[in-house]
Amino acid sequence: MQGDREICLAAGMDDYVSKPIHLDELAEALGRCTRRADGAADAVPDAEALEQLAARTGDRAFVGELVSTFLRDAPALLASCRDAPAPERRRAAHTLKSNARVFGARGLAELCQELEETAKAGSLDGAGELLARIDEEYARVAAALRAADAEMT
Amino acid sequence: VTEAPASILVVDDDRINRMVLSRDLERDGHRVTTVEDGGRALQALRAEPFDVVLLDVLMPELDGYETLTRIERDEKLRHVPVIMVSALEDIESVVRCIELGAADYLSKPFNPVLLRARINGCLTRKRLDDTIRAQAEELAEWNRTLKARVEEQVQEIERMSRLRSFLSPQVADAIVAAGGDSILESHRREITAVFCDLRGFTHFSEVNDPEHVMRVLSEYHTEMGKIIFGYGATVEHFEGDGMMLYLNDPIPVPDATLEAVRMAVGMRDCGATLADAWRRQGYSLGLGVGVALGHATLGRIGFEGRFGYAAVGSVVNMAARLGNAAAGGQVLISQRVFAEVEDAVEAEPVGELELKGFHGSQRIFSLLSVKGQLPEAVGVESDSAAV
Repeated sequence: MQGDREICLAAGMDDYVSKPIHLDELAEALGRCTRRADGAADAVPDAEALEQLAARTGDRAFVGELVSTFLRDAPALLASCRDAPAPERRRAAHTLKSNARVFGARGLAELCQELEETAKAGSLDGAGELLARIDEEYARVAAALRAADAEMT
Repeated sequence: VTEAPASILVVDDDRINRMVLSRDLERDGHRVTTVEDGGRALQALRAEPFDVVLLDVLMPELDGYETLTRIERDEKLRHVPVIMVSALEDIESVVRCIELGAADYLSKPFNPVLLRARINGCLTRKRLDDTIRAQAEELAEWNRTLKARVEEQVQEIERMSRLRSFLSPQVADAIVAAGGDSILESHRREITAVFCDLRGFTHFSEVNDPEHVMRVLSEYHTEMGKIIFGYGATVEHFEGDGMMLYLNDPIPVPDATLEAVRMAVGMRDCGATLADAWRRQGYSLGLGVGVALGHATLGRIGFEGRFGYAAVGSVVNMAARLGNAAAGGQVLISQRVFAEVEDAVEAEPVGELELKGFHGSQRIFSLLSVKGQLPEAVGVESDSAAV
């Protein structure tokens, strides 16, 4: 059913296969899944991800607004991730993670979650390297979002 | 299924989340207010009613736990259901929030279908809770009203019993119906006072058993009481066999003096019947009655728990002196009473009497009858007929 598929994907499932199972469909879905697992950390938002968001929220203009809000707020969050005391650092990483998930930027979300856990534990060991990766990943996500947003509108 | 629109407060420091949540909820027809921290959430909750709160866990200043704790501690806010919002992986915080009193939880990123289901579940529960609370309040209000009414009734009964101790029932009822006993406050008024007592009673009470004395007294009071209440007279006091009564206060009586002499004649006739019966039992007793007219000061006297309604003035003393001076079966009336009812009665002068406490001698009349008045029916007549 079309509705079920959307619900499952929105809830965070990677794919959806309807019953009765057709072997070729299942093989194709599994193939997609393994490819994605390999490149999970590389996943960036694309026009399709934004279209899904638009379908859910009702209009594209709203998604454009979400994207520009994110691009405006993210630099301050990244700065907090670098310099702020541990509790604020944790919150900044948490918010960035949560926002990244909204746009389907799973790579950025995973890196931010790692930083959030580090900050929660109070240890900043290896945070320097993690921060560099987050900055790098954010730059990719931001570029992809701008491109996708432009493509969609 | 979407329930009726609700007013929802979204509390999240994450702007993107606030936007997405508001959008989802508004698309379902709800009114959404967003705030970015716990302090503002509490302000908003105190300022206006909300049906559901969506509360983020991780926030600066007042975080989700502390905000939830304060909501649950607040008598006025604790009935508002709170749905906690947390990251998918943070299951520990979800458990803690449920223990603190949260109604439900949602994990980010939001699934709009799940969000709708949770919101609707909360709204259904809240509507039931609200109904129960409203009914409980209504019940409490009924109880308060009922209590107040019972107290009112008890007070009225107390007032009635106070009044009945010195007024005839119809007068007591009239005063209660008029809404208060302020009528009993001190005042001055013209009254017709009637005093009666039994000739020979002092001797009778000394030579007879207390049982006989009290039985005779009881018969006498019972029969006199019927007549007194029949005329709506006020009983000022009993003094053994003596009774002081008056008309025209606290309730004004038309032709009070004529009514008073009618009552006096009725009492005399009844007293005669009683005296016949007593004579057959060997007791020599006779009723003497005195009637006087004049101004008196009237009001409630006494102390808490023992109040009486008293008349003070020479009219009362005059009635008492006349009653004492009257022979058994005689009604003595003052000059003023005679002047008032002259045309309606048969009376004869008995000359001038010196009365204790009064200057000079007083012209006194013996009242024989009131024109057109029928004899009183007396309950003890059947006893005497049987003898």
